[in-house]
Amino acid sequence: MSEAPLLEARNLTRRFGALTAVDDVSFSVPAGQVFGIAGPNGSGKSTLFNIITGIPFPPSSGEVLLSGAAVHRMRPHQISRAGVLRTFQKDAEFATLSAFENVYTSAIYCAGTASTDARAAATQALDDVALPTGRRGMAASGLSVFERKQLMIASAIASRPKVLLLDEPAAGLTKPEVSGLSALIRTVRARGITVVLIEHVLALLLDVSEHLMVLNYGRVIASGLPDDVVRDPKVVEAYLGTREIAR
Amino acid sequence: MPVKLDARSLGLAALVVVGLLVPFVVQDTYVRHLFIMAFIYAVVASSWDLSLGYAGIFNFGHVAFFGIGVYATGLTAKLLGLDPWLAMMFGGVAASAAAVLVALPVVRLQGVYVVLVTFAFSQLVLQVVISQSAVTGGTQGLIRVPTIELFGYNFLRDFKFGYYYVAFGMMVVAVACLRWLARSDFGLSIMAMRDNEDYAASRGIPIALQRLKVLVFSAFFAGLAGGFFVVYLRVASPEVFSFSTTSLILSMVLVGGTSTIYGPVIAALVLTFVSEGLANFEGLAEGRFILVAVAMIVVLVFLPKGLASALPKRWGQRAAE
Repeated sequence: MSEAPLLEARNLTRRFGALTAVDDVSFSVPAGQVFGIAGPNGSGKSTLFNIITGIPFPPSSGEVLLSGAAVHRMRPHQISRAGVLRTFQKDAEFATLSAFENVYTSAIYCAGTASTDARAAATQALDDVALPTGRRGMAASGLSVFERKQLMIASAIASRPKVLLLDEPAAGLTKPEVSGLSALIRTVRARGITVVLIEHVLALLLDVSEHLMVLNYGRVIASGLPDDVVRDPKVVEAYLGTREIAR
Repeated sequence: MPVKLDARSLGLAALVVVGLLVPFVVQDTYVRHLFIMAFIYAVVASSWDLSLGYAGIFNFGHVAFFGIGVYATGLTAKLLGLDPWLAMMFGGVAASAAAVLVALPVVRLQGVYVVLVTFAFSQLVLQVVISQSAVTGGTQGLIRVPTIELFGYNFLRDFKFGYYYVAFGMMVVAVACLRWLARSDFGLSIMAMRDNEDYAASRGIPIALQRLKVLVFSAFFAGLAGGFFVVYLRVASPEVFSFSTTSLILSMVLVGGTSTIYGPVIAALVLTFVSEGLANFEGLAEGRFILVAVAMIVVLVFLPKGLASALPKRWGQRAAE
């Protein structure tokens, strides 16, 4: 018996004039899975996140279902509140707010937590990602790159999403920090949050993903178990090249 | 349970006490008048800070909300015979209603387009006031607006003693409300929206609704200040919509420091007194504006975040920290 999907995309398409950035993409993510998405630059990965969340634009056509209910006609903040939360490649924080306020605000507005509980939830989420106590009152703009990733994950945990869409979270991290990020993603999953992960760092993607989908020119060219997908000739040709597989 | 007061609360309480004692020390009617005008400007500037500084909405129609408060109060008090106290409140409500109209396009626009729409709105209101001269007095303005009374006390007596307290009370209440809003969860959400709009939407913040609320709240206080302005001066003039009024109050916001509320209050007092004080020197009646402009540049060079940045850091801390 197949598991009912938590997140389902049906025939998602996004056009910009003559350019079709996302072309008839369909996939489904069961609850509790880490679902990886890979593809070369410009293949439509981030645009896919944009149209799933409506930030900053909705799909031209197609449907997004969360637990079977359509969310693609909702406003962006309603999609977030319904449980589909995204991160961004850059500027994924409120720069002038403190780290604590960043997480607290997410708990209040996204999870709908009452003020007193939101303080506790924010503190717990920051504890979960091990952001040092002394850094929590600091403006987010003053945090290091890895601390901002910790903040991003803490903010996501406090928002209590059903699905977290992570857009290239390893960008700008050193190798040891990528290992730390891998642990953070497992922390998120351990909290019952389903993860959809866009990533160029293949080691991270293969380390945490249970399913991998590869896009090229806006279309799905492969989807399945990660080890199988990375050996798919179409993926090797379009994205990985033979040297990456040899590694 | 004993109330625990920190240094900031004590400092603010001391300032309020000093403000309450000023009329007993300052007997001169003109100086009292300057205080009253500074308090009115302080309310307009600090309420502008909520939408411009905290929410990052480039709303250049804020002074029009003040003007709407002036005319809504003046017209309802003079033509409809509404009690001037109630008319003042109506000034705030009318400005908020106008803010809803402005918000309809503004909530979906960004940056310079917000400037254009709000500035156009300001000019539109000015044209309506001038063109409807049978009601508004046109370029001549509205004169002999009824003023306030309280339990038979005539505010025109006692060298503006009563007016001083109404203006001071209005400013204290407005600043307290604005600070409370800015330090609340709502305040955090609008700062989040200012910092990163897409990210704010991704964290469940309803951008359009928060923008609407900010404009409505900030317009209310500007309209209320306008209401007091007209029952105090008893004249409503289209001058309140002028570019010079806008630039004066915008200077107060910027020199005082955005996202502070207190900063524009300090700047309103400083700029009002410096500007008027210089006018008493021979030959500086016009030249004072140049000196004030130079002073502003000096302040912004040495204190880029405004006068409020010279305050102790704890004064700026927010509730959620």
